[in-house]
Formats: sequence, structure tokens, C-alpha cells
Amino acid sequence: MIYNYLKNLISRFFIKLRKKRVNFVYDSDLDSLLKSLEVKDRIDSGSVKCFVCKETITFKNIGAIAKVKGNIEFICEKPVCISNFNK
Amino acid sequence: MDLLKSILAVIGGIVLIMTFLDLVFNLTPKLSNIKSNIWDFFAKRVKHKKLEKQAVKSNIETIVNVTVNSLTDELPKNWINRASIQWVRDKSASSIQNNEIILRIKPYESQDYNLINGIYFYFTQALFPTTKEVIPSNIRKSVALQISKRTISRNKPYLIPKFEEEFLEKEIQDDTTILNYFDKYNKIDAQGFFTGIFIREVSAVAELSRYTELRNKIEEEITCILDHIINFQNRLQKADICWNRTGPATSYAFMLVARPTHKSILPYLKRAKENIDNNIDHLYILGCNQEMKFVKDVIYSISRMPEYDLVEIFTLHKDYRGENDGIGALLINTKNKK
Repeated sequence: MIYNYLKNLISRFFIKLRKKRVNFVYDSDLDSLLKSLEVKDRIDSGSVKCFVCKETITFKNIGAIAKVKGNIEFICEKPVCISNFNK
Repeated sequence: MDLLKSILAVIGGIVLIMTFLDLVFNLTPKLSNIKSNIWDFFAKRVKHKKLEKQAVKSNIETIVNVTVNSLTDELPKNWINRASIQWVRDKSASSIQNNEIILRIKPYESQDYNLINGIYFYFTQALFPTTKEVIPSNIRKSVALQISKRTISRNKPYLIPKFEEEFLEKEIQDDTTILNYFDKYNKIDAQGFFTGIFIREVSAVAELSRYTELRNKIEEEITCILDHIINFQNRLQKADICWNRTGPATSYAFMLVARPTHKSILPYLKRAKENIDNNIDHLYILGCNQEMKFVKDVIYSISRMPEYDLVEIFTLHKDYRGENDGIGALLINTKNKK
């Protein structure tokens, strides 16, 4: 009984120390990130579409950037598109 | 030489203090509120980008981690970990992993939106870590919506209208079938059956049906589990209550533990044995917080039966009577271990 209790307690303790990395880009750093990813020109030319809803991506409506099958893709700012990408 | 020693001692001391504080914040994320408030205070007064970024990060991390801290004891083991926010500024395409996603965070003035977006984004990514591809998206999305809504209403209740208008409503417009689940999740969550049983059973069914024909009918099976739980919850006080369910992938039974007047655990052991005789795979024990010690005695006594393996003990944000905090456990039939 004590063994089971301690086992449960210790495993919960170590789980609490684990971290999941979440990547964010701050609004004012977005321009710099697009340049370093070498995709700024594509955005400016209006040739990029949202990976989920296919709406044209502009600097203003970028919601997230992701890598899919080796390509950099963009998701527009609609929460539905971001959650649909996560599915 | 003495000066060098003193400098090294000071650096060592600072490192030790920082490590200690980091450990304290890791284990008690509620304390991170202090850190978050300090950044908030400076960000509002000194308009500097670095301070704003730090305040945004600290705010989102604190809320997500306070929730994660309580949810790690509630959700299946190894499901969610604390969030560690990384700001990305310059990154080459080759340094980004496949399926890695970078979320845009708006300026500090839109912090309400950032908070909701950060919380919802985290849960859509973190839940069902190993069975994401097997579970239909409307079921997973409604789980993420329910947990995000609960998180926001606990930590920032004033943000609920914004969450409903800008996230929930838009998800419903995109897929109306979400409503078939979201409404029911809300109902079973009020008595601890949502995280305690439903999510665990869905995860088990998804795992077992991954390479079987059942995967094509998984939504139907999950709906049956949900309906059984709702029916059970509605009939808690009635005689014709159905204590177990046998489905094509798993079978489970409920055991509600309240301290009886005779103070004996024998009736519970007898019922656990009956479930073994009925070939039930999963036994869920649910108890209320006021009777914690007695509930634990029952759990550990059943776990000592050779027919059962204790998978985990978990907490519940509501017990089966609808009161705050409860305790639960999942035990599996060793004969049917899959």
C-alpha cells in the first residue's frame, strides 16, 4: 500500500517538472522572422495562401507559421484555422 | 586571488538562488503570479518592447501552467506538461522541425486575446498526445474547447464572453457537430465524469482500435460511451442505474465510494470481485474529497487483489456529488490486460 502510494506520488512529482516547448513570435519580431525564413517577398507579392482556408496571406493576417513536409506554410489569424491545423 | 574567489562565490550563490526559485516556480506555478504581476507592473509603466514581451510571456505561461499543474493530477499520466514559451525572432527554415508551429502574439494591448489564443492553442496541441490521428477532430476540438473554457472561467472569468464570441462561436460555425459533444461535456464535467472517465475511455478505445475495423466507427462508439455516462449521471439516485458498459473495444464499470455507516471496505471488495467475474476491463473508483482517507483505503485494498493492477490515482475538479475536488482511480483487470 505504501509502495503504491509513494510510486504514484514520485511519478506525479517528476511529471510536473517536464516542460512542453511552445513557440511564439512577437508581433514586432514577425518581420525579422519572415526575412530570416526567406519568405518575406512571397508574402509581399500576395502569392501565399492560408494552408487551411486558402485565403490570401498578408503581413496583417498571419496567425501562425508552420513547417509541413519540409515547406514553410502560413495559417491565417482565424482561430478555427489554427485549431484545424493542429488536428 | 581573494577577489576572484569572492566573485565566483557571488556568481555561485546567484545561480543557486535562481535554480531554487525556478524549482519553486516549477512546483508551485501559483507563485508565478507574483513574477507575472511584476512584469505586468513594469510593462504598463515603461513602454519598452522587451518588458512587454516578458509580461506577455509570463502572463500566458502562468495561466497555462497553473492549469496544467492541476490538470496533470486529473488527466491521464504523461498527457500534459508545463508550457515553456520560447520567443522566436530569427530562425532559418532548416532549423524548424516538421509540424512545428510558431504562433503570432499580438502587442501587449491585445493581451486578453493573446491569453485566450495561447490557452486554446496549447490545449489543441497537447491533448490526446498519442491518439490524435485516430480520434475525430470534432471530438478532440470540443474537448479542447471545454478544458479551455474551464481554465479561463477559473483564472480570468471576465474573458469568457470574448472566448465564446471569438473562439467557441467560430468553431461552431465551422463545424456544428461540435455542439453534439460540447454541451454534453459541460454536463458530465460538473460531476467529474469528463476528465475522470470519458477522456480515459476515449483514449483507450482510440489506442485499441488504431489498426482495426472499429476505427471506421469510432465516433459511434465514443457517442455510446458519452451517452452511457450521461445516463449513469442522470440515474445516480435511481435503482435501475447501469453500473457498467461493455463495448467492442473496452468494458468499464463505476464504483462510487462513500463512507458507509458500518465503515467496512468489504462490500467494495465484493463488488470489485463481481466486476472481475463479469469480465470488465476497467474499474473506475470515484470518491469525494471529504472521505479521501476511506476512498484511498478502498483503492489500495482493491489494488492488492491479484486480479487488479492499479494504473493511476487521479484528482477530480468536481466529485460525483458535484462538490469541489474529488479523487478517482483506474484499475485494470490483469486477465484482460491489452
